[in-house]
Amino acid sequence: MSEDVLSVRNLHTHFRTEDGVVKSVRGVDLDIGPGEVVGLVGESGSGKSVTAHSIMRLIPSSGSIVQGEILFEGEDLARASVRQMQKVRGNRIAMIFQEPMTSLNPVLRIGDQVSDVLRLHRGLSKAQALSEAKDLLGRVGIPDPKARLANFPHELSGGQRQRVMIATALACRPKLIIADEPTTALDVTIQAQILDLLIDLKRDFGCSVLLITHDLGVISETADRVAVMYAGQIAEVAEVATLFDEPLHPYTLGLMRSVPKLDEDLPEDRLLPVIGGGVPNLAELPAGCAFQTRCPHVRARCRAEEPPLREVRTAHKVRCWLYDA
Amino acid sequence: MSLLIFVIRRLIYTVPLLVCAVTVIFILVHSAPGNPIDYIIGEAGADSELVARLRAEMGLDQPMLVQLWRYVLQVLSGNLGYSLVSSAPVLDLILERFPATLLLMASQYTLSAVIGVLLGVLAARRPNSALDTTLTLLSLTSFSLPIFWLGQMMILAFGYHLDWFPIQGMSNLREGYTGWRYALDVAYHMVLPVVTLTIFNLGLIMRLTRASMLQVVGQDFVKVAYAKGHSERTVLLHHALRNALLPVVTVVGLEIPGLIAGAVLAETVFAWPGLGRLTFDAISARDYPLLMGMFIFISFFVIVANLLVDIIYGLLDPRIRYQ
Ligand SMILES: Nc1ncnc2c1ncn2[C@@H]1O[C@H](COP(=O)(O)OP(=O)(O)OP(=O)(O)O)[C@@H](O)[C@H]1O
Ligand code: SF4
Ligand SMILES: [Mg+2]
Repeated sequence: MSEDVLSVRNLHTHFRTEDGVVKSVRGVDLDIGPGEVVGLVGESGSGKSVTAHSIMRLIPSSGSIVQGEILFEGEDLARASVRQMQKVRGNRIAMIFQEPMTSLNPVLRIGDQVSDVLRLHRGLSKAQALSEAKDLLGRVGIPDPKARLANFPHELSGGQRQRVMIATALACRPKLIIADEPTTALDVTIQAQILDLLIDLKRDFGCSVLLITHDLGVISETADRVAVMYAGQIAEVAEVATLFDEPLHPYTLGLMRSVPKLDEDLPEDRLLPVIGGGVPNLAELPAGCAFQTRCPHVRARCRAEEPPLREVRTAHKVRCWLYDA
Repeated sequence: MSLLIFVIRRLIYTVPLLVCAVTVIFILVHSAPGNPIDYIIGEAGADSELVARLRAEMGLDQPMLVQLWRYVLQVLSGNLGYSLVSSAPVLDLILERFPATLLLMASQYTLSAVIGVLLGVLAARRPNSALDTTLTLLSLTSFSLPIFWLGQMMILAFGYHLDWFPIQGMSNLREGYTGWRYALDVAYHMVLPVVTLTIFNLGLIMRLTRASMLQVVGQDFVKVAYAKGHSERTVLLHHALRNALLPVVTVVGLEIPGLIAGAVLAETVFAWPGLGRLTFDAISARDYPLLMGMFIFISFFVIVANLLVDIIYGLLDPRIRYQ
């Protein structure tokens, strides 16, 4: 376990709001090995983005990490100083966001936006950094990369902008890339291209990826392992094949049972299928299991005690009383 | 190069604008009661032959449109007529005073823009913090103070009581300084009017910058900039501010006529020998040609200032430039 690139232990992130304290992340454990692609799935509001932002320490000032460790190459990011974090971000951990249309600064040139991390973290001169940015743009499949350096974001399509974001993320050869729904905002045809690109380059650059998505199809095609998140906790973690073949947690089972067929006309994008009932209010959670209000197998114990995340088979952990030996 | 094309295109747009301004002023003056002949022949009256000759000489017998056309051409060739009071060419009178006004306006505006933007960024950094609240109160006060009152308070405090700064004029005429001593003397005389105008204009710029920064800071590319490892300072000043300045520049451009009104008041309070004073004197003396000349000149000034604003906007925002 010690050779994991990232090892999140019992992470709790809370927000102070007018409705009380919103417990968005409640004890997340997550390990990512070298070169591994770990998928993080869960419905909207389950805390995927807050987990990612916690790792990057980019939580808005109304929120904070109240407990837990974020061990990255042996260093606890949860306790790192602002200075230390600035050296990690964009350098050893890079992040790709959901909205390529708004992730680039509209008034700065593409070349400057790709190369600034190289100047910041690698201390390259402007000319060196631009020349490397040009190579990077070539590697992410942008035609005529030299000319693109002088372009502004509005001159590029959404797919090209996301390629630019990938080039920027790879620039400093990070150990870990966190991609928060990198393809959700793109056309279906372009989604596949961008994912393939991300996975190819991840192999070439030898980094690990935390891939956050709503889309079970994306997970099955790209991830090595999957963590299913529910109400701020990991409900189940397993190898991709295991999770799709023998899901254990009632929530995961629900998701799998209603995976939409690819040729069906889909509402919105390929979102997680809807399971009856709603996500519990993270400011006023009931005692016991967070899934109790929607679970077909709920029993008395589920309402009294919160189940722990336990390894019930090799490399397969579940948070549910059904598997309490 | 596209920036150059952008500037040239904007320059071409200013010609019809200027013609419109002159036309409006022409129509306003011609729809006012009385005509120039009455001024010349006075109360006593004159025979109709003389009146007819004068009318022909001055082109007043021509149709309105011809008169307008001639007037526009005359103005465009730089002839604004002659002052009734001093008989000097109006344009000469204006150009003689213009440098003093330009100096005052440019200094105070540079100062208010730089300080206002920095304070705005500072306030937006921690919204609703003690610093933000204090700056908000100060800025609200700053643009609700009447400028002549503020000017007189400055004179009272720093002129009379503390006796730190001169309270009138642009230089010490008795000493007759030249060269850099003169420049220093002018700078010394400028302190109170510049500070007064800066305080007055600072508040609005600061409020606009703050609001605009708060909006920009919530956008994705700012989050991306932090995720790249940039420091807060770089993110705010390099990535966010350039975007946040766009609405500030727009509103400041719209405020230019108000700026001139403020300058007129401040020049009067501080006896600054600029256009503001000239306008004030022209109104008191009913010097119509001079007033008309001033209107046209101010229109021209506003048009040029707006052109500058457009260029700055184009420099800041590539999306405008490349359209
Ligand atoms: N700044 C904030 N202030 C208050 N609550 C927040 C804040 N950011 C997130 N939350 C809350 O935390 C919970 C988890 O949000 P998060 O954005 O992580 O969800 P997500 O799993 O990424 O969902 P999505 O799939 O919609 O992106 C939500 O209930 C959300 O309302
Ligand atoms: S612990 Fe109980 S309520 Fe929770 S998922 Fe398991 S069976 Fe359902
Ligand atoms: Mg999210």
